[in-house]
Amino acid sequence: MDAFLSALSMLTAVDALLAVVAGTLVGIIIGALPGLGSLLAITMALPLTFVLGQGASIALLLGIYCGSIYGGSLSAILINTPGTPQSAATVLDGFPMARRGDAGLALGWSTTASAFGGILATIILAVASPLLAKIGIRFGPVEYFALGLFALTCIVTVSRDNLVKGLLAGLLGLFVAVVGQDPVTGYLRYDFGVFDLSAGIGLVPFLVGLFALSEVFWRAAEKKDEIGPVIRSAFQLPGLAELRRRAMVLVKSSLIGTWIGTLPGVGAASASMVSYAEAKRSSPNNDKFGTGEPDGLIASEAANNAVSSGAMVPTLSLGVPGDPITAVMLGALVLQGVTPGPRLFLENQSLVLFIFMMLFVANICMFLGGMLMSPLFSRILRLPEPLLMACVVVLVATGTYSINANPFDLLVVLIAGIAGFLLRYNGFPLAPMVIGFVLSPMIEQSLRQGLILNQGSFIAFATSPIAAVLFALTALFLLWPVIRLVQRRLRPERRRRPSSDY
Amino acid sequence: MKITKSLSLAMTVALPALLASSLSLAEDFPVRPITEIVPYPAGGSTDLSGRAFAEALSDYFGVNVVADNRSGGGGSVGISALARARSDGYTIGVAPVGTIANQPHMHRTPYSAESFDYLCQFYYGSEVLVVKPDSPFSTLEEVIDYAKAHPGKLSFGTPGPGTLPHLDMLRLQQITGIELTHVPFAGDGPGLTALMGGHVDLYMALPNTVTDRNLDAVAIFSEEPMASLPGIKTVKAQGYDMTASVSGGLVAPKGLPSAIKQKLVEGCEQATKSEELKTVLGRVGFEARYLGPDEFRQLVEQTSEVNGRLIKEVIKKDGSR
Repeated sequence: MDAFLSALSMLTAVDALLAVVAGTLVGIIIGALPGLGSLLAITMALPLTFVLGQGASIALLLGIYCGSIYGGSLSAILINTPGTPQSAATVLDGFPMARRGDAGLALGWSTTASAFGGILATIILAVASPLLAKIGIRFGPVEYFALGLFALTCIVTVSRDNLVKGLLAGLLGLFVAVVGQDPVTGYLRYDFGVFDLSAGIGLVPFLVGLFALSEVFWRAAEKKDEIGPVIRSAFQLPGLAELRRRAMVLVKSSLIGTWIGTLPGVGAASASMVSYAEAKRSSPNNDKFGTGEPDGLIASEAANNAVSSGAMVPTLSLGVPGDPITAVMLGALVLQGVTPGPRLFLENQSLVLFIFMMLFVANICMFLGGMLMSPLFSRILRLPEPLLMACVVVLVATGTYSINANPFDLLVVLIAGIAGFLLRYNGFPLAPMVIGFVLSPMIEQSLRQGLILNQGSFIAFATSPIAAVLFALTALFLLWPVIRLVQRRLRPERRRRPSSDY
Repeated sequence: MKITKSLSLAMTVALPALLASSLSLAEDFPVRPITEIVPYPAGGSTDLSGRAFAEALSDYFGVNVVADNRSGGGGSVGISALARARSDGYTIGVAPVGTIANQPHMHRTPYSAESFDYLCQFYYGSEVLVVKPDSPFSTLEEVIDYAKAHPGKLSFGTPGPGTLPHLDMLRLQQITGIELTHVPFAGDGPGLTALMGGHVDLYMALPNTVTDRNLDAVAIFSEEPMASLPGIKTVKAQGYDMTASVSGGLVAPKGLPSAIKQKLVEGCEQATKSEELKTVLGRVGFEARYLGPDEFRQLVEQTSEVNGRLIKEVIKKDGSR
């Protein structure tokens, strides 16, 4: 009880509340600007934590973290460019919705789903953090490999128009990520003697080039006889009935996000992909995925925001950061004299409680901030297109350069942009390429670690219960169309029954 | 009128400043902010140590010393940026010994241990051999006996191939004549989690891993046992002549004017005495330990020689361990 009261008094301190509001708003803006992501936002704030007190520092960082992940969805929906890698899966249904004229509703859904995911994850975190940490560490290389493989089935989902081209794009993505140091031997691969390639292709330059810059090229190449999308409303929250109808996807995606957040090193980008793949498998509306289906948008956004709470589990209870962003947060905590780890929960309960409460507040701020700011952002769609596109180019270039001050990254942006344009021109979907790229390191490293640990035997991969379940889900997903076909053949009377699926 | 007045005021202020900066001599160093390249991402132990050191240098020199993260390639991206920078003293960098001594042997890098002027070592941490939870081992001897009876059965995790902990484990295997299986991870985060989950048996880590994460260790690789780790014997006390540590310091691109180098060396030594630095280093598992420019250079050169040989003999011959 004492711990609770002292946490509450930390929470109601003026500087902490101001910090969380400011952090969230700044986070949303930075997240929404393509190329500038959560990591940059939080690194920029790190020096501020030297001057702020403990409570305010933590509040600021949590606000930025939640805000920036949500912010990425704004540009994903409005200009077909994920503002942060975490929103890569949001583009798939978000942008088609906006193009259809439902930008306001899409923003409403992403705001609702993000806040819901974040809040549900926080509640779970507060209740079950130490337990989740225990389950999380049971994930070894074998289980990571199985998880990565399941997430990879996303490629099938997003290649609805042309599976062969989708698979090729996915393979290409897997391959591009192979450039650089071999994770096991340390040898260089495909560096062609160029030193800059030895560090591999960066996720941010690759992603913004592939999506944002190629979008600019695409629009420049398009004939200009169509007028931009008609926006029916700037921001529209989904109705209660709609919300109830999609509650299942919301809850499930939030749970997936929370759980993946607890696994160190997987991250929000992969989480939104796993969640998207699972929603596609189980949603009654799965035929419409990729054409502007709110379920797809919800799956991605609820999951990636749930990750930010989930990632606090290993960070706080094991002292191991879940992703690069929580690594910076861990650093900030250490500087404040807090040592995350198993002992934190015993020795500094009030601080742990404070962090949970602050996450809750940050998610509410994010919801309100989203309502306030997305109309502002949706106005950018009314900017003259040449101006908008020029702004995107400037942002992409400065944003990418600001991360590492490495001119080579700009070259990557340019090449990825041209490649993206050519791929789109030839009918290749871009999303599978990003999915392959994001998952490639995890799949490769865990596969090879698993093989090293099991003396080169694949059998161990099937004997782990967790991995076996994931493999089964993967197989089920891939065989689903076949199963459905067989079902229909066996029971032809079902065809006559009017179905709500279509 | 108003405009001309403020303009002339600006001129009187700005002109001397401009002149001063263009004519600045070594005696005036430093007259503008110094960039301190940190070759690892924000939030890690190298970054936090580097930032605290930048603060301490700022206090000493009276100009801003700005930490600038340039991560990638196991630290080699940031270190190459540093090697290519102008050697005027305004770009310096934090150089972990492993990055600067090992990476050039692993693959072609645009720098080698000879590309730098060494200023000082400021942080140091003994390595500790940590075991997984519920491990049957409590001494190094037990690990060695088991490994001798079951070659290749025990596994150890590292933050990546060619890192200092990896090479030190290779040395340990050579010295004790045992054979272990190497499982590289993408950094200490995933690696230590795998250890806590029991997916690998051993891990070479910093002392604070034991105290903060409630893990057990079988040996510490320092000369003397550590007060914060009671009951954990040194490797030497357990009969093997070996020490291992992770350390790093401040370097600049080669060719600094000697007067500027002298000032930086002086600042480096004073900054290492900062109480704030000591606190931060303690929190991330290091301690402040000063080595002068020549001693630090010798340490890097010696590490480069020993590890270069190991990399050629073991890693390049058989990539799997």
